[in-house]
Amino acid sequence: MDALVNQLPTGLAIGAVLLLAALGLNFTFGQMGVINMAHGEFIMVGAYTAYVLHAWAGLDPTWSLIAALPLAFTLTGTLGWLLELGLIRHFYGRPLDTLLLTFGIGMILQQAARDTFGAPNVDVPAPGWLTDGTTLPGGIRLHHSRLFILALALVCVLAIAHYLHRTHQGRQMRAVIHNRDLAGVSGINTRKVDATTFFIGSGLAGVAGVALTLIGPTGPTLGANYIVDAFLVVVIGGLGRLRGTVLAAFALGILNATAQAWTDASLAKLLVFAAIIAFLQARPQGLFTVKTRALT
Amino acid sequence: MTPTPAPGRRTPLARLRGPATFLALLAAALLLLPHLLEPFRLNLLTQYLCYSIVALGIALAWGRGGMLTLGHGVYFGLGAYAMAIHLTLAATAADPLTRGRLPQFMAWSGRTELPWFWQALTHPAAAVTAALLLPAALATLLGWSVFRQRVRGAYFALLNQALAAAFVILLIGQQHLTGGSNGLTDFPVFAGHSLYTPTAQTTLYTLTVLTLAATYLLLRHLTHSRYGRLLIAIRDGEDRVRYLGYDPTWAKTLAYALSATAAGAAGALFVPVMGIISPTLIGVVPSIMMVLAVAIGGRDSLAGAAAGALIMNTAQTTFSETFTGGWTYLQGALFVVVIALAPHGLAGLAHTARAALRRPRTPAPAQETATAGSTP
Amino acid sequence: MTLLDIRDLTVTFGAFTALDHIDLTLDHGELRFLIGPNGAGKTTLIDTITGRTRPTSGTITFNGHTLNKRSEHHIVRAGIGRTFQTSVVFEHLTVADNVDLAASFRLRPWQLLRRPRTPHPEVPDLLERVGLTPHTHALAGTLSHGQRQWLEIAMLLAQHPRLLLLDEPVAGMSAAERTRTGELLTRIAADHTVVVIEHDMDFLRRYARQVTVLHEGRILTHGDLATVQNDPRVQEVYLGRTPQETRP
Repeated sequence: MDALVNQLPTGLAIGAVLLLAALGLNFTFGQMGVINMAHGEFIMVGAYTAYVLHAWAGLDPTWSLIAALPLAFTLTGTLGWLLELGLIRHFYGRPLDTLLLTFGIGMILQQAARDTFGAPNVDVPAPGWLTDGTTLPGGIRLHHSRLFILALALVCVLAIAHYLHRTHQGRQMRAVIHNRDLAGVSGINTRKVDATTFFIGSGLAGVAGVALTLIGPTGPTLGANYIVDAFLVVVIGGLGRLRGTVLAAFALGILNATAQAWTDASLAKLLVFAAIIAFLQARPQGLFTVKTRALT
Repeated sequence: MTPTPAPGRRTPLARLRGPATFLALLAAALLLLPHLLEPFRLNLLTQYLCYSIVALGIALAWGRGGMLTLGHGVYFGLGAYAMAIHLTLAATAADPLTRGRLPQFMAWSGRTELPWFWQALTHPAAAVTAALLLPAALATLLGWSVFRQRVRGAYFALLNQALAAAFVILLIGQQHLTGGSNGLTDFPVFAGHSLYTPTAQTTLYTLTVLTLAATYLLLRHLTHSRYGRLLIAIRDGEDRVRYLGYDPTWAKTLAYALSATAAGAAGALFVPVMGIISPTLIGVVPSIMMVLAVAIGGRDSLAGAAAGALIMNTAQTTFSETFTGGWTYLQGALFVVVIALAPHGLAGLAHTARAALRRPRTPAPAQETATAGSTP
Repeated sequence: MTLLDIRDLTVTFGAFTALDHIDLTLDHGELRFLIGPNGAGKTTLIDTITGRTRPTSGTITFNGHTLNKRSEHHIVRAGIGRTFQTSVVFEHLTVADNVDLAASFRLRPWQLLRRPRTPHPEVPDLLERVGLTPHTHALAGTLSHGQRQWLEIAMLLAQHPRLLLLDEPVAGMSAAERTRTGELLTRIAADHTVVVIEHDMDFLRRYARQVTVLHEGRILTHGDLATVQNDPRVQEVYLGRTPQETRP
């Protein structure tokens, strides 16, 4: 129990990063069943957006961070919207094909980043007020950048919850997720809803990318490093459940941190994997499920 | 309505002709190629054929059984590392400088004793057995525990990918046991025979071709059995299959384990041919490339999948040497083009082309050929 | 003699009660029609018997064995077969292979691994019974909706179930197809125990003998067709009209 308490801040920090990376997937994978493997590359694009604002446009760290968040959201959102419009919508109902298709897109984006920014990692300096940390009584150190990411993740979750439950478009989106055909005949433009869902989901990847520049270097494979864990979060959380995604992200974060403290980082991943398989023995559909009558 | 023959189900003649042609070609290649190719090319070809063995397994699991395995690098890697550990031990024993001691990388990282799983692989037979059984055992364990819980489709694919990621992180992190990101390399001998002679290279090539042929024949037999049909049925409607009184769990686990075993065998053959194994060869991206090869060749066709691996890896060597970046773009585009325009891959295109060629020759044959074509 | 005995069966989904303390018995050789308005719990009842849905409470006894915790394929092996509202045949297998696969379910796994020289001996006869012989070697994906339903029935018969559960077998069928299905059903009922869920009143009038009416998860009434038809409660809930209106 003591170990768990000690690892809690680290776990929450990892969880917040996972949550940010997985939030967009909650839309595209969780809500639409589309596995967008290029999501990781959208995260990478978001990170480079912050880099460009700082290194090319010459904004100071605080302003580049503030400007990068909406800009990255719009940019990756548009990329996702284009991807849905041009490719993915032809492959609804074929999730495994979409997976491979979008992996190809991801490869292309990764190489494009390599050609534009070079293969070596670049650094985006964090604003001064985020580089500091606070030491809690008991010697646990809280990095401000981690706190910022945690806050950002929570703001995003609240914004999504508000959108899904309090706005007209959000309710339409939930209707489409629940029963596409019925929503369609009820006069909802399902095509438009799909496109919007993809825009928001991909836009959140951009936000995650900007946040990741605060805690590490930016490179062409930045997103690829997070995407596997981000997908695991959605798998554990259950399809289309915001609550599940939030819980799963922090559970996985804390599990990772504890396992790392217990053994070492390389063995921890395998232990976490084993824990997930064990978890699926009890809850094969993830933390939360939607019951369906469809026969598959 | 025009009954059309099912893919993979042709006239009795064609049924015989398919494998007969394939085997005849293989036999010809087996006899001729070592004499025709310079050693460097022969070595490359042997590597590609190893990937063809992996492709056969993926075609069974994914093409027939609908299990998209994004982590076959793990099984390939288990086979490869089992063999590489054995070969490293053999090299250490043969080297007068390290005789009777630890491999150099282990000594450098401060170990004084050989780890137990290294000791277990001292004998060549143990290495070969482990290369086949470890992948089979892991795949059975993973497959059974998730299929039993009806975890499938995208979930299964993502779990496989997570396994590949975790496996590579483990290999890199346990530097003192696995050689870390450098991997294991430099394998001069196997079971007392030098691996650096032209004869050894030809023997490895022959072994690879034989393994490929044996895998092909075994899987071909399975796809033509009722079990093969059961796999297709599970792919297209797993829940429905339960109401036919079958338990999909064992059927899926078997296909998955067989495909993992094929990958393990390929890995074990790959190591002495390539001369190195490292995490970069078996991670998330190489795993998905193995699937791309099958998609290009045709996931429904065993021969197509094997050919796909051969073609993709040849192209990779040819193009990546000259323009690395360009090849990545091309590979990315291949994913999109193949999945979007040719979901049945080259085998599907060949099938369509053959049908198109046959049609104009015989007038009004559609009904006739189709009926004849579907005689069991 | 009782074949299926359902006692005090309740199924709830969250706050919604789909089946509410159902008692139902079925004798050997019976042909029973199960009717009721949408959401009455008909399909849920079949789903629960076949292991697709788990009962919240109550027991299902089949041929003296409790089915409650058994998985779908075990229940099929015990002798209960079913079809689905939307027919699900294996489109990438031929018609003959579909039936062959259904007929081979009692083979041991290693027997399935062998390459069959000939299809299961009963396949031609079964295809004859449902009138699909001309399509023996066609891919099931090329069949029309009605033909798919018949293929499903052939697959069901191939398994020699003691109890057949048919979920809306004539939904979406043309008049001619309905008649054919009705005749097929009559022949099957001669030597099988059959439960049919059906909405179609015309079909019901022509082929139904014993009818059970479900409403809001409860059994409203049970009896022969005439009795049930004249029951005012049935007319009210099922036809959505008051008794006066239905009388000409």
